[in-house]
Parts: sequence; C-alpha cells; structure tokens
Amino acid sequence: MMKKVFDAVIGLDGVSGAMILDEEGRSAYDPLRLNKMETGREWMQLIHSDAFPKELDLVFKKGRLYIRELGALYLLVFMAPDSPVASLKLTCDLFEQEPDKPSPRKRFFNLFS
Amino acid sequence: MLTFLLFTDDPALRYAVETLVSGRGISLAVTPSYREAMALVEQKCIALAAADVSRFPGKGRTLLEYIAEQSPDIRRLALSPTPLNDAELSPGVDATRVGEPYGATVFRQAMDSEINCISGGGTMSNVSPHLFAQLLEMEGRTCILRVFDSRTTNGGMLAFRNGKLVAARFQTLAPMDAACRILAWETADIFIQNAEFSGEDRIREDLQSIIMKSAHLKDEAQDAAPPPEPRAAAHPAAPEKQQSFAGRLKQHLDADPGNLQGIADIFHNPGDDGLIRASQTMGDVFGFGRLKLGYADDGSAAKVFIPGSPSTTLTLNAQCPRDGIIRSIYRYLD
Repeated sequence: MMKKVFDAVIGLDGVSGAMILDEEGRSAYDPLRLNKMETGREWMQLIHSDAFPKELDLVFKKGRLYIRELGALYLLVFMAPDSPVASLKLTCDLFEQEPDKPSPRKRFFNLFS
Repeated sequence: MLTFLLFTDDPALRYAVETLVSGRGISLAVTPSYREAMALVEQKCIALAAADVSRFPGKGRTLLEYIAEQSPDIRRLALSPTPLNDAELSPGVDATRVGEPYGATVFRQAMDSEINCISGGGTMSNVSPHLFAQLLEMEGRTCILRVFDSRTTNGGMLAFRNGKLVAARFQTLAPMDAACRILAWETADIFIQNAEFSGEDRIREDLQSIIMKSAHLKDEAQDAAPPPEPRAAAHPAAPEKQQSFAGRLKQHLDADPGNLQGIADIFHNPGDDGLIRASQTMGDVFGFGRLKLGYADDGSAAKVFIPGSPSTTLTLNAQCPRDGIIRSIYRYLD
C-alpha cells in the first residue's frame, strides 16, 4: 500500500520527493531518504496541534510541503512552491477510497478460482 | 484557579493525585492523550505539568520539551519508576527524577513546593491587573504573575523583568495580544512568584502603550455583549492596519482575473498561531525558508492561513478553486 501511494505520487508533475512517516516522525517508507528529523519532536508538535487537519498544504518561500493523513501514517510530498496540487489530491483520494481493493476484472476471475 | 496537568493513563497514579489535590483549591487536569495535553497547555493557565515518561517515553519527553520552549514558567516533572539519567532528558527540561515507588508522594512534594513558589511573593484578590502592573513597573520588580479574571476565572501569565513586561501567556494568543487581554480584565486574583522569567523577552513595547491598547480592547468588549471571542476582540494591536491588510487582500482577490469564487470570510485570527508555529518548524527542518501560507482541509471545511501579527484566515467553501487561490495569495505576498 505504502509503495503504491509513493509510486503514484512521485510521478506527478512538480513533485520532487515523497515519504511516509508514522506519528512519531519515524520513516515508514522513505526510499529517497528525505527524512531530516532528528527526534521527531517538531513533527509531533505539528500533527498533535489542536487545529491539525486531515490534509495540510504548506507553501514556503523555497518549497511546498503537502501532508496527508493516511490512517495511522502520514504522506509528505515535496514540491515547488507554484506546483498544482489538484492531481496529487485526487490521487490520494483514490487510494483512500479504495485501499487495496481488487479491480473489477480480478474480482470477476476470482469467482472461478 | 491554579491548574496542574498530569499526563498519564495510569488509573492508580491518577486516583492518588486526585486524592492529594482535593480540597486544596487546585484544578487537576489528567489526560492520557498527547493532543489533549498540548491543548490544555495552550488553553489553561497551567502552573505545573507532570508527564509519566515510563508509560509514554517519547510523547512524555516531547511534551515537557514543548512546554519548556513555549512556556518556560511552567514547572515540569518527569515521573518514572526508575531513576532517569541526563541523557534521557533533553537540555532545558527541568525534570524531577523519581525512584521507586513513584508517583503520588513525589507529585505531592512538587505540588507543595510549587504552590509555595507560585505564591511566594504573595497573593492579591480582586485587584485591577493594569494598575498592579504599573505598580510593578514603578518598583522595577522582577517576578512572574499568574492572573485569574474574577469574572470568568480564565487565567494567564505576565512576566516582569526589572519592571518591564517581557512575556505574557493567555490561551494561544501571541504574547502581545495575551498581555492586552489580561490587562483589560476589570479585576483579578493574582499570585506573585518571586522568580525571573527564564525565556527570552517576547514583548518589546512599553507598558503604557500596551495598557492603551488593552483599554481599547476593553471598550470593544463593552460595546459587544457577550464579548466577542475570536475576531473583534482578538486584534487589539493595530486595528486600522490589520483591517487594511485584510481589505487589501480582499481587493486583490476580487480583482484576480481567475474569477475566484467561494471565499466565505477573511479575518484576523490568532487562533491559528499554534498551527502556524508548528508549520514553520517544518520549513526550518527541510530548508524551505519562511512559511508564506497554508491551506488546511479537514474534509468538511477548508481555510487558508497566512502568518503575521496577527495571522489572517480565509474560510473557503467548496466552490473555491484551491490551486487558484493559493497561487493568487502567493503572488500577492511575494
């Protein structure tokens, strides 16, 4: 599941990197080794802040960070400040709606197996 | 009323501490939730925070570090059945190491010493906070005040160094806004602690100008009953300037050729300051520089927040094009 989400978002326009963290800031899936958090303290302060939403899009002077809650994990996507986020959001929505669900074709053939 | 925070999920420790504080005029907030503990630190005037680091090793220490950084006036305790060495506690965390059997006895000792410490300089009932602050300024006092509004019992903190107001805390407001809010209270109960605020100065303006602004805030509150909590009362610093920023931003968005629809409201909102601070930290960690804006979507509602003093929030409905509004605001701020 984590690899699927990662592979889906990393190929989108404007995306320069992605990783998946747990709630204490540890890497759950980080093949590009982007996690620079030493203690996870800053991360915990963010996700446990009172107003932390399901989806957060932070636009900085030199980059953009898209954070999406995926069950008990969090997807972080790195982008340029002016990158469009619509396709990224749609991709995440699709994964959230149908986690690991077999395709209709697979389901059909499963009837005969 | 003084509030003590206990971060644990141990029912035995909770029961023991509740028994200890009952009848002592202290409010005890006990929670096993890290998020709730952080919210309590931001919302309540906590005087002592204890974290059970044996049951919550990561979150307990992080909570204490967070308090040390944000509210260094709050005394912090790490509760553990085994002795803790220095390596287990980050620098800046003033923690008590506890041996077996841990818990209630140590907490009581800390609580007793904290009560003595917090009110070591005396307590005052039903006094005007701004008059009392002026007195401290004249005397050049160095102390920390826990101030509790007589009307609402809300509590806040003011810190003086050589007669100068250097820090204030009230809920999630920025220090300057917090000072204005506390000094606007008609009467309050005040606990005086003869201690120096250990953090750096967070307020630069002189007391007289802060009192002027708090008087303006009080007038606003009297004009509107019940007192307006989030918007009108939350921007005492420079109303004309703030209005012009929101107004200018609105004008810019109205004139955007992308025909941006779906902006429900634009207002100054210090309530997002905690989220903005934590978001900026992410920018520092990943070398992205200064936070320009954020877009938050909790599934049912969306908003844009813009850092500032005070910060600004735009509430959006479903018609608002996300990329369009972010791009437009980014250009405006550039």
